[in-house]
Amino acid sequence: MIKDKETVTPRKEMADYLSPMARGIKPSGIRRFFDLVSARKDVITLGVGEPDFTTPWHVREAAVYSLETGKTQYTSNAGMPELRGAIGQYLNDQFAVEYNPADEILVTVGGSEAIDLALRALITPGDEILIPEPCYISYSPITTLSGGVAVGIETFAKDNFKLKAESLQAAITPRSKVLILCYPSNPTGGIMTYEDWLPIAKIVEENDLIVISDEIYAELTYGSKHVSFAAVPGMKDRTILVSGFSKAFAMTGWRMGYACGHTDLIAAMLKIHQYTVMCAPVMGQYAALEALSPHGLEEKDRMMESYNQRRRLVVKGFREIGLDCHEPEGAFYAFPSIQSTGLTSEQFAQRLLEEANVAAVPGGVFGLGGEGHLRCSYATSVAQLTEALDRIGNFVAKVKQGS
Amino acid sequence: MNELQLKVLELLKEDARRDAELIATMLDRSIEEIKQVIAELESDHIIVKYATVVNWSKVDDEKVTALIEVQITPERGRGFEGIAERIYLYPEVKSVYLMSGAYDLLVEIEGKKLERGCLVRIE
Repeated sequence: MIKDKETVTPRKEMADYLSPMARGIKPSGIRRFFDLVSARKDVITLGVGEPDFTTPWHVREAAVYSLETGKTQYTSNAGMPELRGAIGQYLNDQFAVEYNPADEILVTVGGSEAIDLALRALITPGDEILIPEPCYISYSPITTLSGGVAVGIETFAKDNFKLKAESLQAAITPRSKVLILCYPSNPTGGIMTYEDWLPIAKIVEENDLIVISDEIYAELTYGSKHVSFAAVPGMKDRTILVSGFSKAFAMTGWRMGYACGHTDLIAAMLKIHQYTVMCAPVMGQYAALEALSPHGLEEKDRMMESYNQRRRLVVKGFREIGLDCHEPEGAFYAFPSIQSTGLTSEQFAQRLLEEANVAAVPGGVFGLGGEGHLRCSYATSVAQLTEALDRIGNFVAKVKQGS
Repeated sequence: MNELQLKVLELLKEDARRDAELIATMLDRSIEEIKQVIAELESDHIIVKYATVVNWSKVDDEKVTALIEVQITPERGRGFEGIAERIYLYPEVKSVYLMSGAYDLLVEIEGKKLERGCLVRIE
């Protein structure tokens, strides 16, 4: 019997109770860096991958109204049928992919949960998961937690950070099982066209891979329309399409995402989803439904135009400063090379923060091929971007003069 | 009004000090083209003037703003206009709106402190 107010002394260090997998994963490199930022004043941050728009009012109002009318119960585990229907319609209209809302669409707590579910549903310990890098920082740790082995595939600025067939082919082994794709890419802004996809699809087919395609930035392409990997002939059944409302609809805090795919894969993901979160929050589902209304889609287009304007400003700014910056064709990040300064990305970001009061994420945290770059989100006001570019310009000039 | 003109107006409405070069970059057009669009908007009086938004409460804390609802009887032949004009000619009056509903005009006035606020006498 344990008596009141008496603590039991653990027999080991607390960390020793943790699983080797939990101990093994590193904390997010982005978060670590931004702990430094929060301690400073007058910092302009180009760090966070988040829209600078508030969710449009009619979308927020839909959630408020759902509460007022007492919509506070669980929904169907897979999400409200109306919402799944709207998602299916939207994907069909925008990207020409067809999913049956009844059993091929699952509403999740952000795209992040969908990625977690997909990996947990697919990985047998020891399976190799192919991950083109630089990439969003969560794929590799979640792979590890599911018992998989993350295999990075480097992509390069000279290819506009596209995934090349040769690189993919070279990474494949008999244990390769899943390929994770994230285009338009966070952090590089790189995209894949239909022609770019064809040789990748061939390798996927030949090696019997399953693809998790994280298309959260699908709406944010500039110039050419996004091509879903699931829309490539023969790839629909091999692809779990993951997306959500955070980026295009300015709804990060709502945590509303979805996964679409073959009914057997979605059914397995649904089981895990049932046991872990039951269903995505109901008020968020009502908001998401409103976001997909004609009015919501108009608002989305307005925001996209604004990102595009700022993208042009930032790319031109970096080039004038003398930093190589490939044209980001998607997402809301510029990924300039800082190699001409002779600093590592970590040094550059650290000194930029300390000496110029601008925060951006060192490219090295995004894995292979990220080193030598800086991820700058341009989802911030024009005034802030202009000021940040001035500061970065002065800083780079100073570094290049060797002080 | 074409799409380019609208985009230029939206960018200038957010910040009137944005120059043609910045706008040209943001809209992926030439500087000359943007300069011409702005010149046309100005000469057509679509852009009326460039003003500064001042937070007067930080300059002068004596200042107050009041909204006054006014009921009037329309004059024959002139409707509300004659009286509205007499009201808006007072320098303290910042705006006059014709309203639908329980009253006819909504008058926004600005003055010093409440006791001196209502300098406009409505007959």
